[in-house]
Amino acid sequence: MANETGFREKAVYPVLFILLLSVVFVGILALMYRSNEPRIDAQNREAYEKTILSLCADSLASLSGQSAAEIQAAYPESYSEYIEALDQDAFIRPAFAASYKGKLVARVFDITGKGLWGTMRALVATSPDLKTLLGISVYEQSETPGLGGRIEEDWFTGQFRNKQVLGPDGALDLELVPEGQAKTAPLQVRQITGATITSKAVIDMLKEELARIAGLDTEEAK
Amino acid sequence: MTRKEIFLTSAFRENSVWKQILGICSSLAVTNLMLNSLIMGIGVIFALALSSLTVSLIRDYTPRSVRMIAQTLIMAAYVIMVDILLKAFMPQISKQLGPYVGLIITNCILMGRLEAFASKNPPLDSLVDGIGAGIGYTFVLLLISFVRELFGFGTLFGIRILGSWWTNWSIMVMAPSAFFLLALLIWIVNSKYYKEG
Repeated sequence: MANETGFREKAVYPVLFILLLSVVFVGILALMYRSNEPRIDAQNREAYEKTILSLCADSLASLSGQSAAEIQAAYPESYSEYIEALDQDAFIRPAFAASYKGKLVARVFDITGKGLWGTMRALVATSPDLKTLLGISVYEQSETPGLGGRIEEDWFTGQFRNKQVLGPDGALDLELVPEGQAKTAPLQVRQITGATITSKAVIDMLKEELARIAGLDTEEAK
Repeated sequence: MTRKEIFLTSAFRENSVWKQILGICSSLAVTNLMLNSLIMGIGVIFALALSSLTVSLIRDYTPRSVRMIAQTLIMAAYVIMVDILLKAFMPQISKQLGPYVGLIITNCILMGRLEAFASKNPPLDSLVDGIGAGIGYTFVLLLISFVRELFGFGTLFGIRILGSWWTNWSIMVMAPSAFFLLALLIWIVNSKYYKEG
């Protein structure tokens, strides 16, 4: 016992103590993370696929006679029935096609851009000819909560629905207008007050990625 | 002090929020929905109780010079466990709580209880103290979110209480209402139950 007390007064004891404590707790955490990883991955995949389905639901609903809500509720059957993953290499990032009885109704692309604080990832649905946006959903971002973080909210993303974004000479410029503006022109989008840079980042991400996808698409067509 | 005394003291008499004014940030942030508050509260109870127990168990071996590092490490480990469990089993709520679960680590209530109580008292007492402080905190969150959700959404735990005639008070959903309500609560409790001196 006297020996042990002596050891505890040595300068190395606190170091060894923290080291041991870290090893024990990090070990437990690593084990726990590993054992839950498949489940977390499955949850993420499900959320991702549901987002794709919800972006295409309106277009599918207009053909199938079901309502958009019914199509979304029928996940995962409806997903495997309507959505097909496209060759990822052709578009560099994941891409999907939604079709009803062989007729292509929408395409969904996974796009990415730089936000104020970090990388943003979004899914964007377009008409088959890429010209019109059907919807966008930001599924990963690290913008300021309550300000830039609002790019996930429906009122913001909803503005992009049915916007013509591709002209004959490539991607069109969207213009940001104040959040409170009552009426918007076709190429105007209400920005988030207090998050000008983030709002701009979303517009830029859309423009760059759509231009890139359109470029790849025509190359593929040739 | 008996265990019951310890529990009552840490949960109500010395309540972390209205008496010690700790954990204010999260009390403001997650109280717009009762469900979020409940889950957050359970997370804090779990992390605080187990950290208290662990800190107390190793208190005789912990060198004074590194005790705070050790406490932070233990807290962080339990909070990450909560985070992993939420991600795996309640992804929806995990997404709604966003960064706040991780921020339990920086919640002063945890550090406060560990340093003030668990590092000086036996394990079972510390466990009771941790659970008590956690329940006291959860109680405050639920009180505030009750008002905010009822007036802001017309619902409680997502179940509609007020009919369609009700016009939602959007201020209740936004941050300012949390400041008003928390201040009111602290004011009322302190003037009613705590006499000066």
